[in-house]
Amino acid sequence: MAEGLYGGLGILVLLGLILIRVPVATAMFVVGFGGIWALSGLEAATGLLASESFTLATRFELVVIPLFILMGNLATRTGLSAALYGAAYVLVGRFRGGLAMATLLGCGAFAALCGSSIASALTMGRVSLGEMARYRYAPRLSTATVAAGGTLGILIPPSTGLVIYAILTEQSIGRLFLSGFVPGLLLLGLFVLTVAIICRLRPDAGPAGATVSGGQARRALLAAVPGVAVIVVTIGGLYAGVFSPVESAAVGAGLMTVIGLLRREIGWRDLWDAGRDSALTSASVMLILIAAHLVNPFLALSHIPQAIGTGLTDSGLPPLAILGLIVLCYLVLGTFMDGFAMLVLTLPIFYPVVVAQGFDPIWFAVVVMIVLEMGLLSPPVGMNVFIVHSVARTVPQAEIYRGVLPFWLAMIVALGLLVLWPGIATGLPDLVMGPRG
Amino acid sequence: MIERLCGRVAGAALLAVAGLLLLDVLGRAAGHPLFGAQDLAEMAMMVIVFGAVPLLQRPDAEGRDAQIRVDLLSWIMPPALRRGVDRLSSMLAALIWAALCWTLCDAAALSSLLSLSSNILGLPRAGFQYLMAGFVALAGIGAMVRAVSPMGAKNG
Repeated sequence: MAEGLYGGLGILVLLGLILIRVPVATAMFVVGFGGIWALSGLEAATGLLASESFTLATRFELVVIPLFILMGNLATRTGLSAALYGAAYVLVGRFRGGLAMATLLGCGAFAALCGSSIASALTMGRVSLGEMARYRYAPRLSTATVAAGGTLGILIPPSTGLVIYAILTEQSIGRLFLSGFVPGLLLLGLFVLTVAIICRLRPDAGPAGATVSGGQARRALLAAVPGVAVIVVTIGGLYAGVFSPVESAAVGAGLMTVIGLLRREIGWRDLWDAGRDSALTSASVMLILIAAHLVNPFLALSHIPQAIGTGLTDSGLPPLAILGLIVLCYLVLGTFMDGFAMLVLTLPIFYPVVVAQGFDPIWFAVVVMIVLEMGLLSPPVGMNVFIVHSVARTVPQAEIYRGVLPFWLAMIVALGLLVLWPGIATGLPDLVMGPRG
Repeated sequence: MIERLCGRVAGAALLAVAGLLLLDVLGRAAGHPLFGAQDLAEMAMMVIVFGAVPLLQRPDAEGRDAQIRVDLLSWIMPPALRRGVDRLSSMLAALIWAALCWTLCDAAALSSLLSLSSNILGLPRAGFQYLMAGFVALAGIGAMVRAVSPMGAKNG
């Protein structure tokens, strides 16, 4: 009973500290360390603090996080994002809403180079928003397209979110990367369809772009070849079993460096800065992950996850209703919490419940990623909306939120399809790696 | 100055790991993988993460650091309260880093006593634990300075 009280108090303190703007990692370290100290003594708390910090900071599988962040950082600096957008424009730019569709396709391709939704939104926003303004696209449509397209970064592999999920739930990173591929393409298709419907209903929202000549098209497609080649080699090599996820990230970052240096798009100074910036981003993510390994044992000691699991199981609700409650909880938390912090805080509680209800953990990972994406677009703290707003200062945030709504509904459709056909997520990993034992 | 240097060291470690693993993949394709690449990557990962922590906490010219925070209520928080929270955050961080530094030194002493080392190259574990303790100590000193200095209130 006392354990439960400590657990409840710990969760309240944690939420309180996070809400008053204490860094998420610091709040988690304090509550995890303090909670274990209260329940198991100071020696256990200090022992766990040192061992978890060193063990996680030297875990080989986690090297994938800084390497993929570096790869995305270099892709931005080498201008490959602009080249991918240019190629997508050649393919669909001449259609009504074509620039928005090209932005989405560019986002999808960039997501395959970069594991972060925020980086995808920022990069593609810089590349495409000016172009859409030039063709008099409705700001609501153009900004919402970038915000929504950017969310593909967390689903289409490589995805930092899926790596974190793999570490927290002890699932295979490769299998999870495979599971995100088809749902990522499905969501991309639904986003493109959403743009087509919007432009059908309001033709002035997205006029057709200029037709490009054969020579221009050839040049644009050729410029995208290096970017596509990096995607094919890294992700293809991963799927074909040539590389492990860590090696694939190293190959991607290495190729990106060689391309950038050879084409003189980056210099040694840029490379140096990319390394430092990527290390900083990685540290901010890794600190939260390390702190989660203190909070999770504390929660386990307090028996809170078990109590929630038992409560849900004994409620008599069917598994799908329990899943719906969990998704609803994520949606509510996603309106104000950082997606990554939400993932590490909630998985230890919800994951055992979901598995006990007979859901596939790999499938659940994809569901969680889509729900996290929805959080990135939801007011009041829609991170991708903030990012797009920082690029398009003249468009009010409320306008972007209104524009995002149709894409949000497209995500609901994607979730519905995943529930109806779980094979959308589990089919490819089962095909490539064989069914799970 | 020292914080920036730590950030550079972390960045250099990341670039080195990328190059190392790329060489390992190429070497494997040629039948000669790099011996001990995994050991080196693991230890470099610690430098990447904890080397960057002192710089991560350092506020820029606008008083913002690179840590992940939730800004939901910041718009209704009066400046004095925000400064107070920033001081509290720095103080809590300083305490956590102090505890981690202390326990890492203990763990390093034990590793040294037991001659613990990495699996392939036999790199002494204690050395890397002391190095990590050093990075953490720098982060803790930085946090403490920001918690108590008059300028620190603005930064956090």
